[in-house]
Amino acid sequence: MKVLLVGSGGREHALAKLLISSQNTVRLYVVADYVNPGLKRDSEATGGKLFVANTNLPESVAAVAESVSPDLVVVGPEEPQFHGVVDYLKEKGYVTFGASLECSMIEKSKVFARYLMWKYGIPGRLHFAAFRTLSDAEEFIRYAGDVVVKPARQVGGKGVRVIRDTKAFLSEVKQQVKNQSVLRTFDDLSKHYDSDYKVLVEQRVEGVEYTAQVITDGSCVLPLPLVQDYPHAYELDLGYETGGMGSISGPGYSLPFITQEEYEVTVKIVGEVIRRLQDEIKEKCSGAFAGQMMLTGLWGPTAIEFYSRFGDPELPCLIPRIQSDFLEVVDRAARGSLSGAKLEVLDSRVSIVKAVAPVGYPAFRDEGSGHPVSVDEERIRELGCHLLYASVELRPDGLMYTKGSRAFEVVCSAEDYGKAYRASETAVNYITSMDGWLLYYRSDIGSKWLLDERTREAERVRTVYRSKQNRGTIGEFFTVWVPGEGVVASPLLSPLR
Amino acid sequence: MGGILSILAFEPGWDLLYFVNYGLAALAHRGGTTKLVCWRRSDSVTCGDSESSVGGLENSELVVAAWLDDRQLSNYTVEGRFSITVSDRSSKHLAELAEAVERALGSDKPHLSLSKQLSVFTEEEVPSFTTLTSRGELVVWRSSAGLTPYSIGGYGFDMVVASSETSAVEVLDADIRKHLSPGEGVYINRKQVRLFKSGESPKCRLCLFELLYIARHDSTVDGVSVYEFRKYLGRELGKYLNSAVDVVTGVPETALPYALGLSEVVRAPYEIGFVGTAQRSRSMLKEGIREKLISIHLKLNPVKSVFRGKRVAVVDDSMVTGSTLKTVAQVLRYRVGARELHLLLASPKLVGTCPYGVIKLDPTSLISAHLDSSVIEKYLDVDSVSWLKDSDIEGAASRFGMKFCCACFGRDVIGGRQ
Repeated sequence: MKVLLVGSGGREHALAKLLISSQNTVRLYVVADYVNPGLKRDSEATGGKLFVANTNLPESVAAVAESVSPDLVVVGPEEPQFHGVVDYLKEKGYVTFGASLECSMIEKSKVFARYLMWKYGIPGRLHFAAFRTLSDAEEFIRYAGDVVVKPARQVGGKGVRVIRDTKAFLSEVKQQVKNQSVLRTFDDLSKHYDSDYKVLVEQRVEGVEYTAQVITDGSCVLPLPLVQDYPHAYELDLGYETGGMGSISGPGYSLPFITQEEYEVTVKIVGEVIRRLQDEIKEKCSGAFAGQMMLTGLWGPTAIEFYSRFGDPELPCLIPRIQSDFLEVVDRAARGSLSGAKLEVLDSRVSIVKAVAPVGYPAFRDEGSGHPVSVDEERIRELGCHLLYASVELRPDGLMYTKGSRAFEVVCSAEDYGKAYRASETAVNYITSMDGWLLYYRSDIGSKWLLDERTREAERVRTVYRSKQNRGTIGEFFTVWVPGEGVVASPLLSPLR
Repeated sequence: MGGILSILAFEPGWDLLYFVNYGLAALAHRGGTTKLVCWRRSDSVTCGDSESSVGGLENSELVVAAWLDDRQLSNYTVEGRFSITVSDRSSKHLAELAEAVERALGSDKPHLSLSKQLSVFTEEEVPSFTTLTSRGELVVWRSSAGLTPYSIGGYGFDMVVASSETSAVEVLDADIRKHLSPGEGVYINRKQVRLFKSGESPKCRLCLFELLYIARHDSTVDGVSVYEFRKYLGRELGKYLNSAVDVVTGVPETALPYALGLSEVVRAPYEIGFVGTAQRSRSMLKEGIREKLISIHLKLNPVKSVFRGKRVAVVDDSMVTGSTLKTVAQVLRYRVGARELHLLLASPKLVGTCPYGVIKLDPTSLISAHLDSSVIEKYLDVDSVSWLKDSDIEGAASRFGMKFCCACFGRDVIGGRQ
């Protein structure tokens, strides 16, 4: 079977590993924006090839497809979806796994995703307000309070500002920062003409984040095990928001700090969003989708964002745990025949992903780019871990160079977190810089300490949402009493109100 | 003694002045007579008191603020690089520490170098410190002997907030992420946050006074709730009260949880006995006798109806010179007309100075080192006076999983594996 994989990074390398482990004989072709050494090697080992092309241009991707004649195309990242690559390939008759332009709206437009949740009354929704003009946003933000400011369009997970504003004596300075965020978001989004709304202001919640990924053919929704990713750049959950510096998964389908009931509610929310998305756009959506969730005191499982693809470092975390023939599942999803398919996972195994990035990531990527790095993959394999090549490029001189983002991911698994953690901590040492430029990773990911922290936090918010549940006020958040007018649920009104 | 707060903002646009002012307010109870604020802007470091910082902090992403006494500040300049180091107590080792840090920061992997350079500083006299450099670096280190605490917090994706006490981190709307263990430190700049460990001193332990008196009730020290610790010791005091009482009260403000704990076990109501005037002041941390007395007198206006004609248990955390408790006794007896006064101290007898400079105790004026209990009772004019015993502190240490320095109580260490 010939498979063409679209995309260049760590998620695609994870996809490649899962696809080629199929019982079918796979010949893997890749179309990537740069020569990812892992994708090149693994595709060539199957008799396939890596092509370099702009993966956001439907015509370039289709040209590669024409030369390869694949039985299945798998589109990894969201940007090619936003640029209509999936639609174009499908029009040309290729069986394609990945969200169409319309279906990917659930990720691309954060306003649309929230609107959908409010319109259909899906649990786990947050109050929000969205703005097309700067003046409206500036006026609103003056009274917005404790909020998150986000770009209304997905821009690689960047630009989100969480501004906890719960102390009046610090409000003035926080107000300044909120104003700046609004201005900056408008500025950043001005080059994205495909988004009508520019800024989203959302009610801030706190709790424990996790990701629920699913595979669907438009009728049947197959959940994958939950994964927790760690967005802070540095140890102790400090510093910038990144694409994720690592993740954990297992045992079973849930996480150690998420109850079975919370897991079930989560899967229901994601399934309901996909169903309503299809109702709304009147089109079937197939491919991978995910809910970036948070266990909050407001709702319990709460939706923060939606993805129209697998997450990274979420999917990598499942490599050692998925037992089923992943290619078969993906292929069936793309062909609309997922019904009856099962995804077997190793219930008793847990896994840990650690990303290794050059110093400079994420805020000073230029400084972190262009540094030669080497890996001793044999040693990593001896530890029972997988190595994924992400933002790293093979140049004509035969060396690998960093591209400024997360360069590698190591994926380790074992029967318990202690063992997987020790393996992952050893594995990262086999990735070294050749010019002395520092690389970094988060040592705390997968540690008992961090797991305990998450457990404590989950217990705290669980007490709150269960108490709300008992009082019949789940999801309700009465913030303001305007004398003469009554109690207002939230000053952040949805467009539906 | 004093308290340190440091903040690094990853994202631009924060005016850190607000954070500094409120953060210092949340540390004011730790002693230290001088406010110092140092901040970095465009590769240079400026210091002043917080009022003079207005405007200067506006475009700064890195600031250290502290309450200090003498010998808690060291500057270091070498080859155009400037750094400033502040410690949480006076120390003759400060200049050496600052020099060691500067040596480490010049290397390729500062966190590894820091670990090595600081590993030689294992003596109890070595304080915890924070260094800020003109290159935008922050080094936070808890002393290997671990006598004083240090915590790291985070504000969303925007800031690291480190402080001698958790209260300052939480008042600034940030979350506690870690209580540094003895000998543990963090190297921070916008591009890196690296924890390092310089090795724990074999003699490491927390100063008992941190939990007894120094920290705020709302703080957490090495994972232990200060409030719960104090209430626990208050309950332990119950076994030393041999007379029936009508009411239990505490000397403001540190003693309130102890009094609540005692009230619980002796089944006498806890009452608010005193109301303070002007701002909260820590009499024990005052050095001059006059300052101390002013501080005492300002916090002790009695609520007369609570005490008149009653048998009263008065609780305090400790007794140093006895001057506070003498004042309390006089007020309650002569101005209010209490029937009986039973004094209970939630610590063993203070018998020696602090050899490590954590708190300043003049060995010549420690009342329990020089007078026996019956004389103290007469001097203070109380019906009884009781202290906790070493065994009670041992019980607390075991219950809360702590190891304490009790040098001033005449014991080197209580708790831990001995």
